[in-house]
Amino acid sequence: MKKAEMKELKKYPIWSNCLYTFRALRREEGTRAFAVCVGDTLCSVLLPFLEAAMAGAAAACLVSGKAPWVRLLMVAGYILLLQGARFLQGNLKELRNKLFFLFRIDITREFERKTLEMDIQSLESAGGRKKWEAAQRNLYMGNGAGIEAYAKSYWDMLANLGGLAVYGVIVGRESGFLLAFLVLQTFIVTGFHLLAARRTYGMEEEIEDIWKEFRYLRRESILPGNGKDIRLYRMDRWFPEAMRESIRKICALIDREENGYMAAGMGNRLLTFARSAVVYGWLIREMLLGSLGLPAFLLYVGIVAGFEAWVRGFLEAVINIFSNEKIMKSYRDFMDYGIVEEGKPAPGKQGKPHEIRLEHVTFRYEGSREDTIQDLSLTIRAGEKLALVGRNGAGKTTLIKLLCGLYRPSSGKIYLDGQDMQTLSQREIFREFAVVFQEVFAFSFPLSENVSCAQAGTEDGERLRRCLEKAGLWERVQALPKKAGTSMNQDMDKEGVTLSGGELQKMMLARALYKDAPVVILDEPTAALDPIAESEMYEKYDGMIRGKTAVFISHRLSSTRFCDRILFMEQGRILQEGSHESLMKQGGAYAELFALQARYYQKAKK
Amino acid sequence: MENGHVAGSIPVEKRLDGEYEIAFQDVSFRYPGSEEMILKHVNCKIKMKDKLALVGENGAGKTTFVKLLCRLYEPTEGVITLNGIDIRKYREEEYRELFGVVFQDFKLFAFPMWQNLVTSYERDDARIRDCLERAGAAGFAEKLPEGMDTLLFKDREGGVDISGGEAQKLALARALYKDAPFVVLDEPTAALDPISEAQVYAGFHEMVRDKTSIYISHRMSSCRFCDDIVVFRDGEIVERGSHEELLEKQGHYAKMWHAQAKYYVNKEGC
Repeated sequence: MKKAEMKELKKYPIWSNCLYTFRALRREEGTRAFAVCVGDTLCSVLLPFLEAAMAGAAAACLVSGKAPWVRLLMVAGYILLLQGARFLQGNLKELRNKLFFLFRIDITREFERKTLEMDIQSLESAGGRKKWEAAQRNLYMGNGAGIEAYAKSYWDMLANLGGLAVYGVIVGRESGFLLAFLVLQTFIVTGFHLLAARRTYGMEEEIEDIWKEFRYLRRESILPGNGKDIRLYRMDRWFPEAMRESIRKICALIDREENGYMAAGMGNRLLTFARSAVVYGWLIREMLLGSLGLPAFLLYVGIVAGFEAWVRGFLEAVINIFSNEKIMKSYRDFMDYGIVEEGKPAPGKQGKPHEIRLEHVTFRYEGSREDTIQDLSLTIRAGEKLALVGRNGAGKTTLIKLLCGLYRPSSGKIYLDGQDMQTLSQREIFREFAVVFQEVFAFSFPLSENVSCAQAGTEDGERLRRCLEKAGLWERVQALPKKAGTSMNQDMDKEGVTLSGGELQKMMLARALYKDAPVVILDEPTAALDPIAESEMYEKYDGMIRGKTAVFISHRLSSTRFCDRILFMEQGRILQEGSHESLMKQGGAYAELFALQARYYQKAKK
Repeated sequence: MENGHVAGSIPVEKRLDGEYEIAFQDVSFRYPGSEEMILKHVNCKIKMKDKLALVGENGAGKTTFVKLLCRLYEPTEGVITLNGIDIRKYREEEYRELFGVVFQDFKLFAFPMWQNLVTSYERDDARIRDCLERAGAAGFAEKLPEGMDTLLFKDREGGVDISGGEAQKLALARALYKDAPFVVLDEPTAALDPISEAQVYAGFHEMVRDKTSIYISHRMSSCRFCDDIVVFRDGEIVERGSHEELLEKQGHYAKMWHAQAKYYVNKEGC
């Protein structure tokens, strides 16, 4: 982890993370969660003690000199108590585990919400991506890592401390020497473990990067959409080799990790052997000398054996806390990341056509060597229909992302009806825009949900029908097995349908229409449509965007005919602007581009 | 899992003269479990070294036709033959070696750029550069931070995002690199601006000079390059011929042509 990143995370010290986690636990699972944890902890301390003491207690009963049946009853009573404790502890433990599991699942909601709602510029940035990756490890690495393990470990630590305290008192009462010896051994074993663990943290990120690579390969090799290219280009010669390479790297790293632990383990075992020799030797000596009775001897043997378990448990809990500490920090860092929305007002004139004004706007993508938009000033009047044309890479798509507030300019300002967009709530700004981007895809939900962006059953059926009709998709939808209720794709519903590229593009248009926002932005909305469908779409556009402010990008210059104004962009600047007729009269880049395309449609020159 | 396809065993004869002839004989196709027939009784011979164009509405069956051609799918009825022999009899991998395809939804992967073209680890820089050149991608390839070794996409550390148009050019270069006797391009210029598109058309002849090419596009303008236009409608081939012949027929093709051309032809200054 780089220095700058480590510094950022310093603002989340361990006690703060502990508090955060347990506040979240109370919020998600209620106070009864704590009752369960406390109960489980108490039982966890009590039960091993009862078990350790069993041999001693039984011996004490048997040598007590009471009537045989009384002795039997006492032992039986003790066993019953033990069983009862086991039963209780077992149930509480199960309950506790379930609780923490559900806790982790419930927290994913806030994480997913953050991912979906945070500003996209931060999310897309290299830093943002890294933060997201690190944060999702808190929730998606199973029971053993992340917030679940973290929260559980505190209670485990408490239980083990309790056990150590109880045992320590008992041993201490018999022999201070023994206690001191055991405590010393604890420290040494801890030391070994922490050394090995620290080595692992360092390698964790490296391993994680390679795992990411491996998971990517694994996922891409089975995605249905990739199948065609994989087979046609014989990628079966390529992917497996890459996977082998990843696996080889992971194995090398894991080997190093394991070696560290092995060394620690060996040291540990040697110590245990030494300890056992010393302790049992001492106890036997005491018994032979007569200062220790048999019941007491048995008790202490049990206790000493149990001590080891408490130490181990305590160590594991502490290690778990520390190794998850980093993940918790990363999680909180991500949750706090991005542009703050609170307190920002909604734009004025909601629902009315807007004027958008750019003043000396410059924009550069993170990590890029050049500006994508250079000192651009532009006023889009309310209700105007604007076309953006230009070559690939001219900055058209970037410009529309700036227009609708997805991106913020690197310098310069953008005003929505005279209000600086950066001072307004991003979410509220988005309500005013309906955008169809180039990338078309359907979420694997019912078609109606894809169009209305609301749960099936809550949509306005009439409005849905109108929008599907306008988009030219109504008949296709009626032909589907469950009509608008048909699921898209097959990931969530085996009977789902996969629409073609052109059909998806129509669905995207229907969605934009359904939103009925005052500013409509269309980026290549007919790229996948055949000529007749495209032509029909152009006929309808006028009606679709009446009364709205509209911005339109297309490579098919023919489609710009119904726009009031055309902007020709090149390398982030506006080169020419005007109506189609005036631009053709002017000559220059636009006229050339148009002639280039028109050429193919003119009478055949053989 | 068992391979659902019939396993062929004949090696495909390697012909240096590119003299392969593929024929669809009364081919029909529907997805298993579906009622709808996507292709219905399609009969089509693809002549050697032909420049073929497939046109038709969305869902008319063009892409399915291509998938059957490459044997990604097998016909529900009818048979497809290569030089007279049912393609199912050939070894599948060898048969696919005959096709260099750029699908509409092609995929590139988060690997070094050159690996995406070569799809293996055997690197031949001269050949790679040649293909990038012919696909019109040499310009942006040079500007990449690490040239040909640049990782594509952000899925892996150090990767670079590329635009839709750039990706399309790389996919073209990949098809060229394969140097297969059949080249199939499905909407290869959909994301390209008019100038890049013109460059691709200009280079297209060069690209497929000695090969048989199949070209699917909604931009009717690209049909001008093709000697042979096959018109699909509702899963059937309804018309076939050269551009002039089809215009004269005043059928479905003519209708589609005019639907696009009208925006360009009655404008002043053209």
